[in-house]
Amino acid sequence: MTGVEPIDIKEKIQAANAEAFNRIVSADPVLVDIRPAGEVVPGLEDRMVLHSGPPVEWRNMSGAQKGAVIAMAIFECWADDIQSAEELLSGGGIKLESNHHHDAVGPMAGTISKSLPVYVVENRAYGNRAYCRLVEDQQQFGNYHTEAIDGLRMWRDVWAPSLGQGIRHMGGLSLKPIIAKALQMGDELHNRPNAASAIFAGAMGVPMIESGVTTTDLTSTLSYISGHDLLFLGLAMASAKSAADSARGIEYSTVVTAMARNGYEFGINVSGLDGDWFTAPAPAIDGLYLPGYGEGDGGFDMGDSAITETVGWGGFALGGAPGILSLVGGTPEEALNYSREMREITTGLSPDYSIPALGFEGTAVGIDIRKVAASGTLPIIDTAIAHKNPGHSIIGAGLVRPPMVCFHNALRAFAAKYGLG
Amino acid sequence: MESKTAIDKLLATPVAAINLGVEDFADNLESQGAWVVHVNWTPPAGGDPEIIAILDKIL
Repeated sequence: MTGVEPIDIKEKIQAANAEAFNRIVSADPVLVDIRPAGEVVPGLEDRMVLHSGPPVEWRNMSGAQKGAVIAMAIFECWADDIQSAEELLSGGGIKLESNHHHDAVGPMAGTISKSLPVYVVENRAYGNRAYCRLVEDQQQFGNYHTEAIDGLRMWRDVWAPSLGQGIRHMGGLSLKPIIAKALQMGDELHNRPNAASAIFAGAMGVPMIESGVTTTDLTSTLSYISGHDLLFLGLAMASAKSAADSARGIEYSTVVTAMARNGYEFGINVSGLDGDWFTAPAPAIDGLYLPGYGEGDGGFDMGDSAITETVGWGGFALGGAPGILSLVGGTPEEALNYSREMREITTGLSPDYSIPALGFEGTAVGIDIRKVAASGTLPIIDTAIAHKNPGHSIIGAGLVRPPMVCFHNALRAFAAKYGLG
Repeated sequence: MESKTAIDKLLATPVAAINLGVEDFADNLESQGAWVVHVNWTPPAGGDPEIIAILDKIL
């Protein structure tokens, strides 16, 4: 017989998945700084824009992601206007690479370029770092107009430097206690990070004052952070990325280490198949739309924010966050069932992150491609909706599941790599 | 004949059914007054023989 004895490989997979699960749940994310991406993100070059999801060429990019990349070209002063930015991009004048290839993540279009400050989160349990950009409701959805780019400028020039000064003054901010507390306060940390955002905003005032942030910048920054319900999503994503990355590259592990979308394709990474993307066309989102928009306007699924579901938050913790249902649709009972359903396809329950509505049981962690394929149950992701065309802000929110073919193709690759032919 | 008697008996009693898979069949029976238990079931791996063969080795 060629290949590995079946009993042997089952044991190896079980041990590898236990290791992946332990690394994810023991992650200890600490916000250590907020810095321009060009100073901290590995491999980020000049004239390069990082984007969400698996790698995608300019010609295949979704409308919203194209809009967001155009905005970054104007933000970086590589182009003066929309038309010249489009010409530059069409001619290959700007390199486009996946955030995930640079230890980074970004919401929706997810665009990161050298001057844009990013959260720097260190996983103190494993020693790795992950990066995420700010969250807002305009440019990351493909809006390339002046008001959207002005938001990035305020982040670059005032808010990020002020927060970064406060963070450095306090010697870093441990995020695990905030995440645990927020899950008990009705957050799922993806579409609803409201409680975590309020806790984070509350933690930043004194350090910014003590570190000497000027009154003008302090007032502007306090106003920004205290009125931004989605503020913490960038920190949740960086925390999740730092946890998921620590579980990459464990031989024989069938645990998913990333789920990401770019509006063109949905892609997953698997620990024991590190470096490979398993992709399929991005699905449509079942959701609710803001006034003036409808299903015909929506682009396909987009964003790196599904890294939160990858580590057991977001849709996986929906049962504890009924408040989000007014945004994404559904009933509280359905939300509880989603959280219960995710236990069928995961490796275990988090010992630290629990859901009060489920008897304080832990969130389901460690998506196993074998269990997904065998059960037919796909991960549930709650997400926002961007327009199908460039130039728009957020238009809605809803629920989505990955295409099953991603998991089937990963299993085929696993069989090939580990000699199960 | 004994088999004919059994069928006669079966058809003469109210229908009680366990429905696997497609829920519409259960709904149709129920709308005609039958007692139905629906079991939410799909073939493993969507019935894909290649994936089933892989899962047999690793799950």
